[in-house]
Amino acid sequence: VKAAKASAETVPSLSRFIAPREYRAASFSSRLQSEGRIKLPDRKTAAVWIWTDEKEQSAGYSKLCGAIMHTHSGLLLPLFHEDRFPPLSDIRKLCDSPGKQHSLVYCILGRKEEVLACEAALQRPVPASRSFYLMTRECDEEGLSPSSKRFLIELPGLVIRRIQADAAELFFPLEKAYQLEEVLTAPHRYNEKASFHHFRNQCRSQLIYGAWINGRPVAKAGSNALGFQYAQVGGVFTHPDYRGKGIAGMLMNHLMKAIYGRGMNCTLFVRDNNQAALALYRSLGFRIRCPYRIAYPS
Amino acid sequence: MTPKGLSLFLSLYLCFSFPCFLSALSFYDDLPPEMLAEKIARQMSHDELAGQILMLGYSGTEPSPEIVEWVRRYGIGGIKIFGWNTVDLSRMGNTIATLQRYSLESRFSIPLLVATDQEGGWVRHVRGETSITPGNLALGASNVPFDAWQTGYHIGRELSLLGINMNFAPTVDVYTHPRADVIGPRAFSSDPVRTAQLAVAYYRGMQKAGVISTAKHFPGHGATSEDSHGTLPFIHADFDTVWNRELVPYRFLIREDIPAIMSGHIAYPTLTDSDEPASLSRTILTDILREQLGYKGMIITDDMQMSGARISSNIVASSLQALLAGNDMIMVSRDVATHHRIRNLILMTMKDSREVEEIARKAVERILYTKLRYLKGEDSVPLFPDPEEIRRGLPDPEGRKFFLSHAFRSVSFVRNSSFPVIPEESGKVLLAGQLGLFFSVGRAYFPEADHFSFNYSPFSYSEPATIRNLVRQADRYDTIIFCLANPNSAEVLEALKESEADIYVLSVLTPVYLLEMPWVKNAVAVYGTGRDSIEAGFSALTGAFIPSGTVPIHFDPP
Repeated sequence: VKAAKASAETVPSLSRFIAPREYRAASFSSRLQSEGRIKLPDRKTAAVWIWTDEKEQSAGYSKLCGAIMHTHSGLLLPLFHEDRFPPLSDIRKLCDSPGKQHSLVYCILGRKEEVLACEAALQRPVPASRSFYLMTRECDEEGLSPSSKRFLIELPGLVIRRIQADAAELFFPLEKAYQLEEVLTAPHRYNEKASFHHFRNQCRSQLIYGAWINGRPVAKAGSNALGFQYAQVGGVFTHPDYRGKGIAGMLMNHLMKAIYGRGMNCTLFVRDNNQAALALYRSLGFRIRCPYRIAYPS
Repeated sequence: MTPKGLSLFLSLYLCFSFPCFLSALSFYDDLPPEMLAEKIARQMSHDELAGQILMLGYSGTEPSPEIVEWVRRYGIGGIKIFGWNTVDLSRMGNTIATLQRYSLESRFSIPLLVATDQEGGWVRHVRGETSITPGNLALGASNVPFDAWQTGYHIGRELSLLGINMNFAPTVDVYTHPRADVIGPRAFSSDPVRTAQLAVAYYRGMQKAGVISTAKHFPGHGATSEDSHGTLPFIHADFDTVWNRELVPYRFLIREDIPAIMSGHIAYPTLTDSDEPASLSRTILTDILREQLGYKGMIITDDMQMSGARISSNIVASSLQALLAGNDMIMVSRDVATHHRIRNLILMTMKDSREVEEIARKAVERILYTKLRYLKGEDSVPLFPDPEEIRRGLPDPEGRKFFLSHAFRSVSFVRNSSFPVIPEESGKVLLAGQLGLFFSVGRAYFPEADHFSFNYSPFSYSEPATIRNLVRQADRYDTIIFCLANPNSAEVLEALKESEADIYVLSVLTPVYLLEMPWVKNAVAVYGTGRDSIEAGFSALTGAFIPSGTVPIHFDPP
């Protein structure tokens, strides 16, 4: 079993490997698409490595036991076979040696076991990390229909709509508060301009919904990765003054409808100590699939 | 009763009574098709319904793991064979057999529809050793319904050998727009009634070979210069016009019990009061096709990947809309990710709504009914094609003979002031054109001639350098025989207008471009690009016989 760079010829094997695991790999699979086709990302934006199991072959197609994506900004996305992890000794060489065109790994994101294995293989201290649960809700599950009235609440002046790029500025303060509160490990290094630019692009390419009360933005929720069959939900945030009124549930209801309308399933990861959020997602029909982890090696 | 007799009785009793008792329903049960289709559809789960309404393409010549999974796990209703699957016909036959075997393992043992576009003439998705035929416009030119019957029959026989049981043919678009380039030689005629008569004969011939005919592209793609592959064409015609033009072939075919109709990605805003394509329009498919025309067979979409289908929304939402509008089967070519999303959305909506579930159940009932009528029985297309027979039987020798004779019968004079061209008396001759066969066949008739060859593509315009080179050389020749095949070569031909040489045009595919060139005094039309057609064209040019075909397209002056 040896690591090799993924190529156009191995894309079918790679997508076959991803498909049954996509519920936890939407960030990975969303980067494997362009114009509706499954394609490797541009060489300049990310590299994909795969481990092929020579012994395991079916109908002339090779089977993988692992794949890893390393983006130019230093994000590492591991996706390994559940029972057979690939030998990770080459990870350091592949992703972490100076002189490569990609930055060193600054962030590893994935299933807990996968991330821990990568951390060990990289042999660098990990001063910051976060623990999550990965939750999914498949669109063909019964129980909660996205058209159900359960999460439709009546609040005077409440409007929910998809945020397009022109409303990005209006909602950016909420996005910023979300980033500072939920995501960043080093808030002092927050780059507001880059963050806004990114958010506006997301409003164009993703499904992001916003709630207004009397014209004032009070909450947002959206997708942040659209894979083959899974859309990853993220950036769910309500202004502290408006919490506990059911706005997030209603927003999620709109968002899920939009995602299901594309024939996709929902996946998300939520901090394992965020009881309010866990309860909300459970009530929406999400269930926990596995522990999830983000690590920031030094 | 002896013990032996008793055990025989018991085993017979168990064999015959238990299946009924457990009501294990099967596609191969001996019941009338209407009843069996209804029974099976009624017992199907949501998953089974959502599978049966899909027809998917796959990549490669071998059964890919994806298509195997789609057949085994999701129970799709059909597969679509594209050119890329047909590199090796025996291997394609094996692939079809493998997939049929998997499909029969399903709960009700339902075989797959295996479909392709083998229209004849210009559109021939299954290549390899299959016959190259003169095409529909040639049938319009000879105007003998029995030619159309035999064309359908021989194409059907070849498909049957390969295990392909459904053909997206005949194309019954009435050729009424002079620049309907994407239809062109695929149409029979600009006359609705002639189109209808030939289409019926074609369908009956293919039915004789056991293959399911699919008339397309409903309501019609012949009155527009746009192509639904890249955009959504609009046809602004009122109902009476459409009823007496586009719909005439369908009115005939429906009376003759055509088993399948394909909905096209073309908008008829005057009929629908909207800009949605016919393939997604309830007005067109349910109100007009089902109710006004009384059609009971199955409706299948054109490929949902085509731009025309998703001009206003994404392919997933469009596919659901297609089902709700009245299509029974959704056809999607090659894109693994969207296949799943389409199924997801249909499945979810079905679970949400009894009404949608009923629509899907009705759709599956019509698919099953078509399958029961065509895929069961001794004369039907084999589910497990025999590679040895494929090697032996293609191309069909009887078909070869017929297509050659038909190519000669369809040749037509477009203009004739000084035919024939006699090789010995025509001085210095230049053959100019885009097709390799034009030169290789032409060499036999004009061994001394020089050749000027240029590219077939781009399709719709010419390269200035080509025109410069040809015009520079033209005056050195006494006679130029020009092969006209598309708008590109039409532009090149136009540049020869002032030339001193005698110009003779051999038009292949559609001769429509000649209408704008009244200065061309000598032109003969054939309608295919195969060897038979080119051979027939040269024979007519050199006076070996008098062409008896008539150009089957006439346009009203604007």
